[in-house]
Amino acid sequence: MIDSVNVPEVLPSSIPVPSAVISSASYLWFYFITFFKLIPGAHYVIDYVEKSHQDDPYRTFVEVLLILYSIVYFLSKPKKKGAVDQPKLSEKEIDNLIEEWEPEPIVVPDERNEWRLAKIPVIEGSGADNVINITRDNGKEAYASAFNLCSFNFLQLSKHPRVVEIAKEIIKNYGVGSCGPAGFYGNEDVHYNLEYDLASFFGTENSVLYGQDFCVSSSVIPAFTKRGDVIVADDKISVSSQNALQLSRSTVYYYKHNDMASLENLLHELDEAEKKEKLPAIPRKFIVTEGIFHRTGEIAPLPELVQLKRKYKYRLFIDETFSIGVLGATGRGLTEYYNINRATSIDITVGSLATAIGSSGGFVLGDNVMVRHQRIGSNAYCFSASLPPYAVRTASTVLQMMDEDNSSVTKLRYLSNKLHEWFQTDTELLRYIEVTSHRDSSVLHFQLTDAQRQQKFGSSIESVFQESQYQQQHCISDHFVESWEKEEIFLQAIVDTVLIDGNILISRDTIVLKQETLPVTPNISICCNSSMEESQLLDAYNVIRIAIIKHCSEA
Amino acid sequence: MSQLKPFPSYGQDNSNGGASGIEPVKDHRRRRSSSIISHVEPESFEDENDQQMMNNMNANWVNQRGAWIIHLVVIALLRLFFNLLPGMSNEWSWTLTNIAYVVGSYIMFHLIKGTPFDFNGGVYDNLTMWEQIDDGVLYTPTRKFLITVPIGLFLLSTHYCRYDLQLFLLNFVLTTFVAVVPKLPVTHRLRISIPGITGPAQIS
Repeated sequence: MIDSVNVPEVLPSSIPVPSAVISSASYLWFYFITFFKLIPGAHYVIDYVEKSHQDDPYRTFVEVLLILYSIVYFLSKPKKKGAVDQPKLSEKEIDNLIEEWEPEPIVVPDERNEWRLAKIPVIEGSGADNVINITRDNGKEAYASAFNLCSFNFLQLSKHPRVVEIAKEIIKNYGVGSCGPAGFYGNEDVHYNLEYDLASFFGTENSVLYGQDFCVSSSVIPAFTKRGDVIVADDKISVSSQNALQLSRSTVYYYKHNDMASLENLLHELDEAEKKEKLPAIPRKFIVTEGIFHRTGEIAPLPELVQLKRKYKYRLFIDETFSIGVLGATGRGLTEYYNINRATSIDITVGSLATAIGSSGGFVLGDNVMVRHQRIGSNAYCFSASLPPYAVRTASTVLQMMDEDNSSVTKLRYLSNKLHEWFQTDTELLRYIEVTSHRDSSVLHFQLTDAQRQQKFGSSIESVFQESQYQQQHCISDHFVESWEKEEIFLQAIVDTVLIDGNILISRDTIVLKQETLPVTPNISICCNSSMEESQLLDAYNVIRIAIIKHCSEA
Repeated sequence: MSQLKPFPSYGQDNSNGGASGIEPVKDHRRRRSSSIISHVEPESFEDENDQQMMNNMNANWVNQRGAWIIHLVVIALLRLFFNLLPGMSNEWSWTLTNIAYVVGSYIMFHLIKGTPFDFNGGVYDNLTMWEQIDDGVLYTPTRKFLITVPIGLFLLSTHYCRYDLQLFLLNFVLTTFVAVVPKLPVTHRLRISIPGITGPAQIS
């Protein structure tokens, strides 16, 4: 029975409770209990409640609160914290919205860019030859036996009959494809043999083969870095390394191109900042640069880099796509050029089999731990198909030939020195153009001088970069910088004149401005290789020289 | 901070100079808050990309039914274990079961951050497992289950403790402050740093 005696003593007697409240509450409680007891099994609940209540209303209150909260939580709908509720739309409204929506075309046809397509040469036969037949603009223009100054096959060793014979034999025995990523039946004996060959040729502990050279850095760097790590990079690295830095998710700092004072300043300041911050864990730190720069042809000052990396405890990552096979007495790249041991100076070297070695694919050189991590942690190694066996064997044979005989490297060096000498001593030419590449680089890069650019197009490197950045940041889909485009058209005119007048194929550097996150300049590159004759190169130089002077003095 | 700034990082060429003057071009710095109570910053576009790129193996298994049942199994085994200790009273056995479960789940869900599978550029490094479950969506069935279990266990253990006041208080304080409060939506992504004991909380 419930009556007024049972009013809990916890209520202070100084606060009078109106008797109407007590009696109505009592009635409610009485009928609630009566009906509750009709539910089967209800007496267990009542037993439990009676037992746990034990004349302690505070504790009961606390427990009831806890139970109530769990019920409230249980009944809430899934929701992300801070998410705003979407407006509820009826079926009809959704249909209307879908009908109203007009998708933008995936590719916006832009006639401002059509000239580029018309200028792409199509080569009949192998592009590695020095004399080639080309057509352009859907076969409207044809040039027979043009002199090819566009091939990256600098040593021309892969054209040697011995290499061709081996490639034939391998195709007969292994077929043409490797049918899968390295870890999924893609790697055969030849792949592992090439990895050993590369490691022993360059004097490192181990190496990893990749199917394509452009994606090597953008797969290797993200495999080793994560948020919070620090990357200090040169500010003229190629777009492949720029992608790598983007994907690394690290904090990226740039130092001035090849300027060791700027690098040291930056490293010192980062060091000071780190000491001040007292981070709970030391981040991984990398210096990223290129052996011979893809964009400018300059050579990185390795001794200073190694010294700084040791002093500030960074790891050194060098992209040697254009320096392997070119620099050093036997073509062993940047380290041989500076007489430094690769295994102890450069932590990660990225190289390409598609340039001087004349096959296809890319590779990474480094120590065993670094290599082992890539075999399971690097996306391009794990998920893209490995190289065809014949390409692999070709590369192995070329390495063997480079080891036996360095005459092609020596000749390449001689030719590139000559080529640079002609261009760099030509005072008339230097009024218009600036040759950026180092004399030992097998690719000669030249661009218009800043004064010429300002005079002809009213632009500078900075203004083009700013405009391009603005469009990138505002996600403008038809990215277009007019002065850049004019300069590219101007350079293409030089290339055309050289092709038409001299039957010589040179090329603008292919740069997709939309993808660049660093300032770039349009430039023309001239590649020499070891199977050329000095006289041929001199003739080509004269034709190019006349074309440049003709176009630059016009305006 | 995905916006690129034109060359802010040349070091002392900066007008303001000094160590604090250098600014990275791409910023993924670990930031730490100097206040006592702070929240982990919301994910950027790139972070969300990285989170959704791959299945989060560290947190997704808790959605499986087997993972739900194992909580009950673990509790039963704990209870059995404490019962087998010599001289253990029933009250203390239940209380110890509760303490062990609550502290264990705290360590697992709220103390250890990050994931042992490092394929996502460290995007989960600053999130506890509770914050990683269901991509951070609150009030999901798994979360409901995980918050109900300690409450149920608390009710059971106080019941079998025969309402001894001290054991009740011990159980209650532990359950609320170690198991329930860290799971509340209010404390989601909240970091508390105690000056002198913990360092400043990392918030990004």
